[in-house]
Amino acid sequence: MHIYLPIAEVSIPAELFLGMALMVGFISGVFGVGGGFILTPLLIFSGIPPAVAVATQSNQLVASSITGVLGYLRQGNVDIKLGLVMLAGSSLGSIVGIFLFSLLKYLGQIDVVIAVSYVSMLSVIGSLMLIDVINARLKIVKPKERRERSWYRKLNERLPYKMRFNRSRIYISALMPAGIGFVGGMLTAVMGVGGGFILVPAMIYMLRMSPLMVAGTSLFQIIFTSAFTTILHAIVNKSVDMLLAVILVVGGAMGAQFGVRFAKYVSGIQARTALSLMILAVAVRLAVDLVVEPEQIYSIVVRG
Amino acid sequence: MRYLFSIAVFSVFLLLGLAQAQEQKRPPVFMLNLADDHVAITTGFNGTQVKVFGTKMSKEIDPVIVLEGPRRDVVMRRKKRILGIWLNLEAMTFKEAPALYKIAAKSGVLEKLGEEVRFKEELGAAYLRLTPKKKKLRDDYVHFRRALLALKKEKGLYSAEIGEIINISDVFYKTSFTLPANLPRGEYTVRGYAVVDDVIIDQQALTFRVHQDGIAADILEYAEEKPALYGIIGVLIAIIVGWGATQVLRRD
Repeated sequence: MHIYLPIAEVSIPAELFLGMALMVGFISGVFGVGGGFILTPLLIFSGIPPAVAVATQSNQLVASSITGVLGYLRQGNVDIKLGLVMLAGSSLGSIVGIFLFSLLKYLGQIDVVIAVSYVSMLSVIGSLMLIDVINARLKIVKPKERRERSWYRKLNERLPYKMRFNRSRIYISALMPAGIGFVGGMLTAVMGVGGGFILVPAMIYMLRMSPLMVAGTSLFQIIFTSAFTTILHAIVNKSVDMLLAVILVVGGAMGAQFGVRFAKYVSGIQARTALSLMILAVAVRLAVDLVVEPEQIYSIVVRG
Repeated sequence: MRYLFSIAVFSVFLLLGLAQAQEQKRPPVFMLNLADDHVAITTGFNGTQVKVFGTKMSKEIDPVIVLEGPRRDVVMRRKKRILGIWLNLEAMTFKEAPALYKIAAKSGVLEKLGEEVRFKEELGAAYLRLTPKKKKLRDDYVHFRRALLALKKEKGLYSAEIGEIINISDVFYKTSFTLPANLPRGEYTVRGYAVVDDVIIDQQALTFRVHQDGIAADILEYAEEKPALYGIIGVLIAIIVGWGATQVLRRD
């Protein structure tokens, strides 16, 4: 069944897109990731204008992060105070990202910037994960090198506005989580991802929080960041396609149900291996598109 | 005598008037009509047909029908390889290029009109006046222009070949144009020319509107007129579905 998307102004086969959302929802259910990093490129490959894909994907993120956060909330694994400090940073990051996005779109470079950002981030994260998995499989235990005064600890000492976060049992400058949030907000606005793959390691290593608390708190923060970003995209770029969003949200929610149930049958290490390979595959696919001579070197944009 | 003269003058005027009225009642040389006065893009829209029909005074007249979409500035970009990556580095903006261009005529009619007339009236996609916003190199212009026409053809927006005109009788004709699913919205124009041998003896133009309808139109209207509220509604839908999904998960 073809559906005409009012904002994207393209006619799409609804079943295919629902299927894509289901699949990505399944993946996010199995691995506990947002899935934005797969869905946004998939939408772009299928002919949705990048601007619409990113903005609409940020709308979908609201739903998937809510589904994710409730479990952590019940277990008390959300540091709301820290989340709010991050949110202050991410709102600012989102505003900067939105305007960067419109500027790049005007200059005709948004597609390539989205692709390059995806390739660099996904290849770094995918390889790090894969190395980690290989080490785990070969039972190589990394010697715990404790670089006592790492750069971010020095940074933390110099920064003002020290704050105590009781839930996470840390005492740090508020600018640290706000700064991490800022990066996350920009990622949401420009790439249509929650940025969990950046936020989670940053919070574990730089803020020294426990992994469980990190997952809950970053999800908590992503709900508001993605909601804020969606509304900004709607106002500034007018590129949120609600019909597409409904398809993605419903498909994603359904897929996540299956994914969560399926997750019980997968061991942590299998899941991490599969996820890292998947991330690398998406990165390679995007990189090939950037490097291989395109069939059509011309593109067309209608103004106003 | 005077009376007689005035009566004579009066009757001459009367006759002239009648003759003029008679003239107006005569069938026009060439007429153009549309089967529908608008195209509605609904949620299920997957392209459509625009049917044009009309009358002509004699069978010697060959109609040429042009269908044109709204004219807007179009930016053409060209990729170049820099450090191994293909980037949009060159661009050319064409002023007021029609979003869609289709033409129908009996074979040979357009050729007989000659290049000059075809360029003047823009008869044929290759004869469109596409002027760049800034002065560019002639060579570049030719390449960008050719790419614009090729891309538009690929998207089904410019006709690759000249459409057929069906003569139902000596005085009735019809033709139809296929419009693709990715149809731009706006005011469309249908231009009709009555051609005899190599001369345009009459012409007529009509307009119709392509607009969204149904849910799609409502969504678009909301997005454009109340963007903040539109964004908030989108977020609310996501919240409800996201929360609903956890409730389903929790049940078992």
